[in-house]
Formats: sequence, structure tokens, C-alpha cells
Amino acid sequence: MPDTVFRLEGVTFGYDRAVRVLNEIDLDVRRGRITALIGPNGCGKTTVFALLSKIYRPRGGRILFGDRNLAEIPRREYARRVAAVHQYNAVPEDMTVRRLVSMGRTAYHGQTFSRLNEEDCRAVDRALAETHTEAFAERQVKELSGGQMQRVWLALALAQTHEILLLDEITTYLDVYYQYEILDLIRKLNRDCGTTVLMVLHDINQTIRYADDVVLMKDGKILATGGADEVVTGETLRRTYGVNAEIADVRGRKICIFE
Amino acid sequence: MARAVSKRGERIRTVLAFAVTAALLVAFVLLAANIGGIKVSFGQLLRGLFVEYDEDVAIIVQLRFPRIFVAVLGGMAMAASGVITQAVMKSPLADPGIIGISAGSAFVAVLVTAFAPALAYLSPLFSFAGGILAFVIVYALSWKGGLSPVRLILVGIAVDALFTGLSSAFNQMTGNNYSGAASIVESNISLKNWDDVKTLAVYVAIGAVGCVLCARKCNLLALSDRLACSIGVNVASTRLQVSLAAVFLASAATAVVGSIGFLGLIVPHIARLLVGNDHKKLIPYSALLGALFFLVADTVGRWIAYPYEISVDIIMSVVGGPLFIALLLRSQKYA
Repeated sequence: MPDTVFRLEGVTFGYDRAVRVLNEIDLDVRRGRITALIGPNGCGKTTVFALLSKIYRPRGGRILFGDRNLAEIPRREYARRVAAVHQYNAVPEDMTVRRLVSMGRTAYHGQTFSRLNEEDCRAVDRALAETHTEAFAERQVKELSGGQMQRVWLALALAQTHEILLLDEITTYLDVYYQYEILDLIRKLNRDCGTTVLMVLHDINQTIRYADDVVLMKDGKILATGGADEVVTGETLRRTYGVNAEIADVRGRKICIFE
Repeated sequence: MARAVSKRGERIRTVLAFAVTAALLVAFVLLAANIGGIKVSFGQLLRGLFVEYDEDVAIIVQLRFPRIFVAVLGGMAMAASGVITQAVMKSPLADPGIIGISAGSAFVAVLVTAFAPALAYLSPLFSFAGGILAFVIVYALSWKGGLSPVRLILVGIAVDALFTGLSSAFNQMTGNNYSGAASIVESNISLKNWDDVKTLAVYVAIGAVGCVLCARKCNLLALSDRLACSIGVNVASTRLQVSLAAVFLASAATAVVGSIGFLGLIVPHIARLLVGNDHKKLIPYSALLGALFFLVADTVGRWIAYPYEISVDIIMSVVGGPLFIALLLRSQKYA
């Protein structure tokens, strides 16, 4: 199996012809690692995310998934290997959690008729268990809190596949406790199941703590890639975010302190 | 335990909703058969239908039954089309009658009825073309990097006004001489015969097959587009297939009964409150409830100012207008 899951070659994208959101990006995402995509608002992180989840196609350059061009892979086949959690999701509010999570099995069935088979039920049960959402599996989604809902979205993605997860700012609406809970969960999946994770993150400290590889973006370009130690430094943070920051060692752990 | 009970409660509510609505529909069919100049007892009706010839019953079968069945089938088609349109447009305020699809269908149906009355049997197909035309215009103009519900309604109202105006203009230019065309423009179903019932039944049956094929797709479209994409749904082509079913049903109904506003909006809304958002239940229930609504509206229209008649469209507008405003005010999301 190739070591690289995604390879972006000279990828350019703009919503209008005039404005380029991404400018000839080259990027490798490695198998079995947790890769964090960071950068200031509007730097193109979410666009990269959308391109990798096949919502948009690049205007220029190409994206390889393994050794195949992403554009040529049928959506259903792709969905069996790559699952995504988006930032904003709408869903009928009277749907139960279990039914929503079982929507993750869509790619394994035809879209006209189909019943969940045993394998689907196992995958759904496993996803519910892994995300600790079984307790409210029969509840309707409108009864859930933001933290519970975010875990349900993750469960939906896990019911789909454990191979590759794309996560867009999965911690944004959560309080600190749930932020770390969900990130610990993601790291556990990565360690136990070899899940490749690509996540858009905002929090520098979470990036340092959870990411194996970091991709730092600004103005539609990639400024640096590598381990958190090399990429996240006072110098790079100043250049990208325009803030004065210092990476300090506290009790054997690196943390970022803003001046 | 409490959960299991509430789940069972939900199922009971669904079954009850279907049973009560079906019973009411049957009751209203019998009631509607008995409103007008000729009155027969229930026993006489059954005897006349199944046992021996009865002159009064024969008249009722010839004159009133076609109208009743047209109302039932038309109501089913309009309501089912409303649910599906709302799924496609992702807006609970979309309705083929309001956003111009019915008006587009009606216009083409009027032209066909006037110029080629021999093709009446095929008129739903022609009006399907008109419906598609209106749908494409509305969809294209309200799309701006995603569907905006407000734009959708605004563009829809304009398209509706245009096609309704064209139909009326045509009708008046020809001095209301083509009674078939006039009946579509005025949504008047008082002169429908068994041929109309047959035509409508065939197209509604085709539409029903479409609904069965669409129910699961509608559930997938209820998710946000990005989510649907990433679980492996080809959103654009799914939306297209589902739209075709919606436009087909609306057009078939319009070709026979004319453009009826608000039915496709109010019925699905009430249906959602009763059976929830799962389209496997929502579409059939809306169809049933739509049949009941249409028949009640038509019957009320026949009875309220007897011997004069008020058309279904007018009844639906009078009841539907205020309800539509109430829905707008209730959902801050869309207004």
C-alpha cells in the first residue's frame, strides 16, 4: 500500500474565475498519520477540505488518491473509504440518532430500495459504541446538546469507514472537556485502527498535542509542512497569524503562549 | 423502557393517522356522491351500484363519481408532488402551485386542449413539458451558489404570475369558447367525465411508481448537500431524478384539474406534524390527506352556495393564503 493517501499536485481553485482561493498547492498526506491543517481564517483550509471530500473539483492541477485521480473515482466507491465531518450540517430534527448514524451506510447500498443488513447493524453499533453515543441512540437529534451532536457526526463517519477521516473544525462548538474528549477519541482510533486523519484545526495547542504532521497555510498557499516541532514555532506563527507567540516547555509538554 | 414505549406510541400515531384519514376519505366520497339535486340513501346507492339498475344511481355514477375520483386523484398527485418539491428545494414553503410549476403545466395544457382536443389523453405529457420548463426557469434563477428559499419563492411567484397571465390571456382572446381550456384556467372540475378519470388514473399510477422510487432519495436530500456528498450520494443527479417525479405529478394533476395553489403546501405541512419527516411514510400519507383535502374543498364549494359553485382553487386560496402567512411567520428561518 502506498504511503501517501492524498497527493495534491499544483492544485488551483477559485469560486469565481477572478479570485483564487488556492494557488498551485502541492501537498502529501501520509497514511496512518494525524495531519492537522492550520492557518488563519480565509487561508483556504476549508477549501482543501472541500476538494478532498469531492464537493468541488480543482480548477487546475490534480489530486491523486493513492495512484488514481480523485475526479475519476465514483462518489460511492470513494465514500466507502473516506468519511468526512463537515462544519455545518442540516438534518430533519425528528430523526433518531441511530437512523442518522445508519445513513453512513448509504454508500454500501443502492439508493432506491434497501434494508440495513447485519453487517450494517454491526458497523452502526460499533460506531455508536466507539463514540459513546449508544446511551442516546434512540433519541431524536433535536434533543441533543452540541457536544453530543458532534460525537454523533463522528459516529456517522465511522459507520461509513475507519480507513480515512476528514474532520473540519470538529472541536469548534464544544466546551474544553468535550474538545479534548473528542480529540482523544480520534487519536485512539488512529492508534488502534490505523485510521488516517486529516483535520482542520484552529487551536494551536491542540495541534501540537495531537498532530503527527502539520500543514500551515496562508493566503491560499502552503507555508510549511512537517512535524509540529518544526512547523509550529514562534517565528511561523508570527508570519502567518501576525501574533507574538512563544512555544514553551511546561512539565515536559510543549504549549503555545500568546503575548 | 420509556424510549421503547415512545417509539411504539409513534407507530400507533402513524397507523392511527392513516386509518382515520382513510376512513374520513371514504365517508366524504359517500357524502359527496349525495350532495346535489338527486339524493339517494346509502342502501339504494349500494344496490344501484352492485345489484340492480337504478336511474338515480346511474345519474350519480355518470355525473358525480367522475368528479369525485378526479378530486381524489388530483389531490393525491398535488400533495405528493408538494412533499417531493419541498425535499428537492429544501424549503418547506415550496409548492408546485405557488412557484409556477402548475401554472407552466396549465398553460401548455390549455394550448393543447384548445388546438388539439383529440390529444386530450396525452395532455398530461404536454403539460409535463410545460412544468419542466417552469421548473427549470425557477430553479436556475433561484440558484446562487446554493438554493436560497427566499429567492425561490420570489422567482416562483413571478413565474407563476407570468404563466397564469398567459393562460388567462389566451382564454379571453378566444372568448372563453374552448370550454375544456376554460375549465383548466378556472380549475373547474364540475364537467369531468370517466375519460378524465381514466387519463388521470394512468398518470397518477405512473407517478406513484415514481414516488416509491423516490422516497429514500428524498430522505437523503433532506441532509445538507455536503453531508449527502460525503456519504456517497450524487446530489445533483439524485435531485434531478426526484424533481422529475415531482414535476410529473404536478403536471398530470394540472392537465386535468387545473392549477391548484396551496394544496401541495398545506397538506405536507400537516402531514409532517402527524407522521414525521421520513418520506417513506410522509409521501403516502400526504397523498391520502391531499385526496381528502381536495375532496372536502370541492364538496364544500358545491354545497356552500348551492346551486352555484365555488371552484376548488378559490376555496384553497381562501383557506391556504392565511395558513401560508401563518407558516411564514412561524418559521423565522425562511422569512
